[in-house]
Amino acid sequence: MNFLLEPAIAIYTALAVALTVWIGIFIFLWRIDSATRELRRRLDEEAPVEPAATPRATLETRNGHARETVSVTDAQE
Amino acid sequence: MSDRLRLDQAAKFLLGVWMSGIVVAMFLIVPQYVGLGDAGRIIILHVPTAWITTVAFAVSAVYSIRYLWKRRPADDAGAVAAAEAGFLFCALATVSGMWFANIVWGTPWNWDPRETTILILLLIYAAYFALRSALDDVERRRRLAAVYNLFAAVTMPFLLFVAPRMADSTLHPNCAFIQGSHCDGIWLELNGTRIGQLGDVVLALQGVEQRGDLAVAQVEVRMPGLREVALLEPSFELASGKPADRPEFPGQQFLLAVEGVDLANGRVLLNMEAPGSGLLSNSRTFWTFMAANIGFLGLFIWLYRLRADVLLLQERLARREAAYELPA
Amino acid sequence: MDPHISPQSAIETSSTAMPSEAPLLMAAWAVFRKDVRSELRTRYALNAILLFAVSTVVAMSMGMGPLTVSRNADLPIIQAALLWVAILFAAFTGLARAFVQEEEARTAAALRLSARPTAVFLGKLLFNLALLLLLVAVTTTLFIIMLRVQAGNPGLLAALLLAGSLGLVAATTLIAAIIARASVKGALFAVLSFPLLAPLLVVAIQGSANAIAGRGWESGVGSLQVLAGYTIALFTASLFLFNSVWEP
Repeated sequence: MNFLLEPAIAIYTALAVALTVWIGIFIFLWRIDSATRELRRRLDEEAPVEPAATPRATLETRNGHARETVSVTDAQE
Repeated sequence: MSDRLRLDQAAKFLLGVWMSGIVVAMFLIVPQYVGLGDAGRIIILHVPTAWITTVAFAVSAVYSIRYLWKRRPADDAGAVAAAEAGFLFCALATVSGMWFANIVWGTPWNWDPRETTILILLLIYAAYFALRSALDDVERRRRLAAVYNLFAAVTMPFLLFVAPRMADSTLHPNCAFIQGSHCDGIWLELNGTRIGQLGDVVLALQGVEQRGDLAVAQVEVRMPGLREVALLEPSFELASGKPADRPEFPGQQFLLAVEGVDLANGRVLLNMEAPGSGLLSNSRTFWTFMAANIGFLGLFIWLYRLRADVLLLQERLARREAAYELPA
Repeated sequence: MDPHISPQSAIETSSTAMPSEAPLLMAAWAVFRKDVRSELRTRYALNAILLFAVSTVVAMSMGMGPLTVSRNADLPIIQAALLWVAILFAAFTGLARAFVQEEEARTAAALRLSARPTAVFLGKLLFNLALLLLLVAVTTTLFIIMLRVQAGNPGLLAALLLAGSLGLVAATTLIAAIIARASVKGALFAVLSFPLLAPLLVVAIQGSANAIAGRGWESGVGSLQVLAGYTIALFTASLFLFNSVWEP
């Protein structure tokens, strides 16, 4: 392997290493990019997500009288 | 929509080819620079990444302003993504710069103004991420991180203003780009200010005399990491008004030059010179450098927008999981 | 702690007794007085800061002994750097207290109801400034005595310490408000503040070194100008940004 480090060859070795690193990074990014696009497409196709069912209570005071409203929304199956 | 997607893909593919071309050009087209050898090729990688760091900081600040104004999660994702990409480029620029400095200037770190600025920038990014990880509530995390980001952006002009004043010269070429920096060196006088500082080197003028048509200055040099005081004798050609003999600083690879002399009053203008000035005057280097700037900018834009997309998708998935109460 | 934050005069002038209608500076002054009173009751920040400062200076003088000019030509810059490092780290231990204490005692909500955000900010800023000036006075006096510093130009040194304190407070008060909401408060305060304080530190140390070396006022004017500009810029930015931090 020592021949790779000889002065005349070394620069091509460095070039090859740098080029490989860049191509690796590029492929990595490209794959993340398409995975992201695919995931977004599938999420968009899905029905819009309802917020989680939480019981809600509202307490209002009007003219000194307290009025309580309790509502519970059920989760959709 | 499909047309736009195709255009997007084409642009990304073009970026890949473009950057590959720059990598090839960096090794095969850019000529060797006298005094730097193959280390000079780093300009193609180092300078654009350093530029992108500041661009990323500005982009992040703009997103932070938009978040505080409109309170949209997408803006916050943009701010984080730009900061993360900026941090990456900042680390790249710092490491590549230190490597280069170690080879060419003989020391990895010497508190050059740009080194100071980029170190503080690195610390600000790190603090921003530390703050985000310490806040649990999502809305509060976004709001406070945006505030800190903007607050840090307010101090940046002071840093750019102050850092060059820490040292009277810089090893980086083209110091005209640094505001407030005077790369003119320092005047030392036998009967006045005898001691001055260039970078992290302390110079003391011991004497100046005329030898033939040369003016020779005796300068005592003290530098960090050097136990003893060294005596250098740079000289100046009186007829042509140019530095003649430029001795090298002990243990390092930059030079001490006399750039002006006032023999009657015993005044000497001292400056240091590092190999690498005038690197861009070669047209092949210049155009590769410009292409690299464009390529890295494109890479930054792709990176941060991709990261912002991923962040938003993560949030959507988390909300969806909570809604369906999926098992973890 | 003290629910009656508005001063008496503010309640008298406004019939509705809405504290947010009180004049801004009055309200800020009231917040400041409340903080001083609650600090004097617990003396938490006071003790922490002063003891920290004393330990630092004692540790420095034990480690080095009095440095003498004959042995070291760089003495002024070393002394200035040590002084500012002592002040900076003592400030990191105590200046976050003003806001952290509101969160820990769960009084922040009450404070939100009773005063405008700007008034809260100005009051806390004033309180931090008072605390820091006390700290600087104690540290510097101790430092000059124990390390036998001969300040060549005491007036310039005092001016730089004052200007540096103003800048330090302008930068750290907003950060204190930010970290009060986070989970690891102590460490985070120093981590967030330091990068922003770097320009201030550089200028203040260089100016102080000139002052200790006994150079004239003209050597410190540049430093004072930068410190003033820094203070004004960060103070203005804080005023704009504090509303966003102080939201519940």
